[in-house]
Amino acid sequence: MTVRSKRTLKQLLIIVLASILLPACSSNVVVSPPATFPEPLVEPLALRLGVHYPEEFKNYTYEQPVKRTNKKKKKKKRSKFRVDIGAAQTQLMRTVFGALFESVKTVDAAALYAPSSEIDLLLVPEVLEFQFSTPRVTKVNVYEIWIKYQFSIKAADGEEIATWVVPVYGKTPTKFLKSKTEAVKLATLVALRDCGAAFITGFSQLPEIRDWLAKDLATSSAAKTAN
Amino acid sequence: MQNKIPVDSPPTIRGAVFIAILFISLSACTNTTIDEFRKQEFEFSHDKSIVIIGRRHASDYETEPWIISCIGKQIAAGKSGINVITEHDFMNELYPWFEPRTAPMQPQRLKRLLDDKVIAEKVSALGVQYIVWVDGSTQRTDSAGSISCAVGPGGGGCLGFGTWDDESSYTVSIWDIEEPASVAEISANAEGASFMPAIIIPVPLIARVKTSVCNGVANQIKAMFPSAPTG
Repeated sequence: MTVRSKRTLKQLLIIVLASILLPACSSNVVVSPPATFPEPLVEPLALRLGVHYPEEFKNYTYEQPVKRTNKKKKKKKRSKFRVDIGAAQTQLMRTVFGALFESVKTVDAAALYAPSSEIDLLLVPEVLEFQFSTPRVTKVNVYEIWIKYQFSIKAADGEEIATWVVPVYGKTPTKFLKSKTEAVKLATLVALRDCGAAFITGFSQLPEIRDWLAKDLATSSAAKTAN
Repeated sequence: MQNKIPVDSPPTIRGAVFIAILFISLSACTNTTIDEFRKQEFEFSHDKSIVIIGRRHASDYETEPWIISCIGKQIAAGKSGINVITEHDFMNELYPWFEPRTAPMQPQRLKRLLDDKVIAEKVSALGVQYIVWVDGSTQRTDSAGSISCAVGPGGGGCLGFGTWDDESSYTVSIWDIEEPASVAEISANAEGASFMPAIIIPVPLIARVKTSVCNGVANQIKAMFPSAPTG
């Protein structure tokens, strides 16, 4: 092998190695839970809650669809963007439910079909939709996050009480932030805090919950009178 | 230890240092207007605290956390400093009652919030006497010019001129927690044009609009509160 061909081989090897080691154009935002979400300042309701966190909820990850355009035979690919909020939202729910209810028990999927005397209410959280926008899209100097949650609420005997849809929102300004990743992470944490605020302030005001509580109270009063 | 430039150092280095110091000390002009409307005299006990919070309910702008932090630091600084609870700590302690969704927009709403025993006890434990709400933002209103930079084997450099205008507009509302009522309003507006001429190196002459508003508002708030007793 000549010196020239050796050099060409060496250069080729460097190019191959570099293309293997260089990551593709993608960003991954992991919204790691903060040390703790703040403990909500509320009087707990006299209700025992059972919560089932589905696997999709605990591991929820939003993936921005990859956009491809084909203009004049030139392919353009938008960078892939992932936002992993599963752990953070599960921790938030645990903190919020723990403060708002007298007791909270995490239950598995089987409990959804088996009546229990240890709980009064059964709740299943779900993410219906996740959206984010950047200053490049909206021309406003903020990063924004929208998450639409759904809480399915059942009585302990399996009776459907309510399906509560809660849209939450978080935004954060651009200027003091270093990167898009960091901005999306902060805006998501603001949205999660908003979710906690919406749940705490809205739960007792839900007409279905109020009706159920009134019915429950009437039933227990009737039982006491009969005894 | 002092680092002095030796007298016999090359004139190029001395010249560069001189130019650098000159440009650091130079800044573009800012025009700031602060208006104050006080409804009553403040009765403030210096063992109490104030809290400064940004309004976050608007959809098209966000009151920058930087300006809230800056005003808080300025008010707390010096001998006549006032105890300031940070926005972050206050919002966490009273979660979820001062989030963008739930924060009271009127003093009457604050009164209703404080009717809740748990919230009132927490506010009392924190020793908060006044809440200072800051609402507004700084926007870039105009920009013009262009700068081109190039690098070659023999060196590099830039050539051109850029300019941009920033405008700040903030309203500050001070609420007395004991009443609760709005006791003073401050409006702060500032505008400034920044320049960046570039002949080989770009030299930014920045109009510090936000800093100017921060200083103006902080001084105004400090002046409203009676001085701390000395001795």
